[in-house]
Amino acid sequence: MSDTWGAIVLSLQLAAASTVLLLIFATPLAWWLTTTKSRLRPLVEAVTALPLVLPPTVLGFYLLVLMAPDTPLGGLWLRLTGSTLAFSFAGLLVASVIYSLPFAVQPLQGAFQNVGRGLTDAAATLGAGRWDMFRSLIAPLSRRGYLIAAVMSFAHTLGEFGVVLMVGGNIPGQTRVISIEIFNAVETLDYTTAHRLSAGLLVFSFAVLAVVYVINRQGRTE
Amino acid sequence: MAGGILSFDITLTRGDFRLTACAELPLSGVTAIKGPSGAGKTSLLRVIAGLEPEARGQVRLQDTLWQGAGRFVPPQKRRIGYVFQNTRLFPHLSVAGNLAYGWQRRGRPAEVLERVIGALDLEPLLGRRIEGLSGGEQQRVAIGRALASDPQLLLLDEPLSGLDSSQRGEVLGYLSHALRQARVPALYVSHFEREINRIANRVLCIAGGRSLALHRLPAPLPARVIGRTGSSMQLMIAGQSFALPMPPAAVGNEVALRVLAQDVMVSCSDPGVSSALLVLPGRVKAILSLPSDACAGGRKDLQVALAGAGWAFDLPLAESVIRRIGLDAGRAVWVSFGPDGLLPVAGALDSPPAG
Repeated sequence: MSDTWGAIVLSLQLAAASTVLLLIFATPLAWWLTTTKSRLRPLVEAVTALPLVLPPTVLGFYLLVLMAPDTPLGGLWLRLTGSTLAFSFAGLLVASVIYSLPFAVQPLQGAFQNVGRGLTDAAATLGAGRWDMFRSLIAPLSRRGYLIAAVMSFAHTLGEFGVVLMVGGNIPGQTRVISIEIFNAVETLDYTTAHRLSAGLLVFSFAVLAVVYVINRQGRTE
Repeated sequence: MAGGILSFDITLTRGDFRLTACAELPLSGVTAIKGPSGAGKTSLLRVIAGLEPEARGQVRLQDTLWQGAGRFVPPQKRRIGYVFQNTRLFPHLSVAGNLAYGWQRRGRPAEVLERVIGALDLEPLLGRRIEGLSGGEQQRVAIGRALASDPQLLLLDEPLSGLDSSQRGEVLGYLSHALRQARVPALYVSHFEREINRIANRVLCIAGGRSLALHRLPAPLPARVIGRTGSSMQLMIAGQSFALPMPPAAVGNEVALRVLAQDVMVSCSDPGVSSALLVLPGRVKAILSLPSDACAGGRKDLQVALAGAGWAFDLPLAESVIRRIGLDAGRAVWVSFGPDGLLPVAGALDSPPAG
């Protein structure tokens, strides 16, 4: 039972940390995608959307290769922290952020675009520079987009399996999250635990999606 | 600001559309920009505001080069106010928040904001949300937001086009009052002749993506207020009194009336008692040729200089009409003004600077 609670706590920690990091990284990326006229834009958009279509194992495999101690990234991490990036909570966090990136970027990009050229032009003629305009106009008008991005990032991170298994392995208290705990339970024929955890995730996911659709509906009718 | 000049010589290409505009506009009063829809009126305002970085050429406000010679000043660094056709108020801010947006960013003194709120009568709206406002109120807030940033130049893009006719008159009254108070020069895009005649000092014509000619609107006729009847004022020109529907004015004051040529008739004999608002006897002083006016649709007009006891104005008339009725210099004429022949000027005239 303590293993099960450990998995739940770890999952929630991972999801919360990923969500915070995702909102921090996705904001400038989504803003750039909204405003840029660069020809690189479709390429960056495609890269951002890749986790939507790639099998998690493919993504996990490349991340694992990238995090190995003999690569620049893995080597740097090892020198800085004294432990490997792969099979650690930090490694899991990096993988989760990359894996859930489209779930944060796309609602934000949609929200930023919705603000529209009309209002940003008006703000510019009133003396607002780029950063000021973001702070005073774009962000407050994109509150709904931020809420959806946060909820989707959190829920998606909570439900991931393939990437976690590839990058994190199955270390209790460090990388063993709920979805892997369910897999373990089934492997050991502990159907009671599997049922309890699965039902929990099912109810949670349903509640999250219902909240998102209710928010979306309010946005349309307003 | 008096004596300054806005000059531009720009081209803007977008797909098949190409705007070429070149003019020097005095920075005083209101310059109307008129022309058929799709002629590039809005694009010209956007280029002047710096909202079209792809535009080529030069834009200069007095001594400041806004664009040209490899330089491009972004819109937030140009001291302009822009009133858009569809208000573009910020929905997450209250009326007060909208008014303060540009005022704060341009760091203007509190008096500016107070003056604008007073001139546009915005005090009762300050705490309101934007959604609940009527169209006329929204446009008043939008005008206030632009003026509160204390701009050197105000750009107005058909600010009354989304309003019904009663709101239009009301907002126009507020606008001209606020412009007079702020003493800010304005470019005013419109294709409504009446609006232009009420508020503008001169007209820049644009047709087919090209700016054509700058016309000074003829000097208005002065009339004396002698009384009031209902919603009309009793006015007097050259000893003749007549009633004109207009906003109240103090008895004894002088008001300026714009002559609208399309409702003015010239006769070579006394029409006697007629349905005209006013008939003034006078004389043709001269007949002058007028540069071909693209806004008049290519019709060849001549300017007929008319004058009588204490009044004078120029009336454009078609050459064929002048020939048919045999007008020439020195001829005695009777000038009849129809109900739409005289329009009170709303303000923003090149008035002598107040003390």
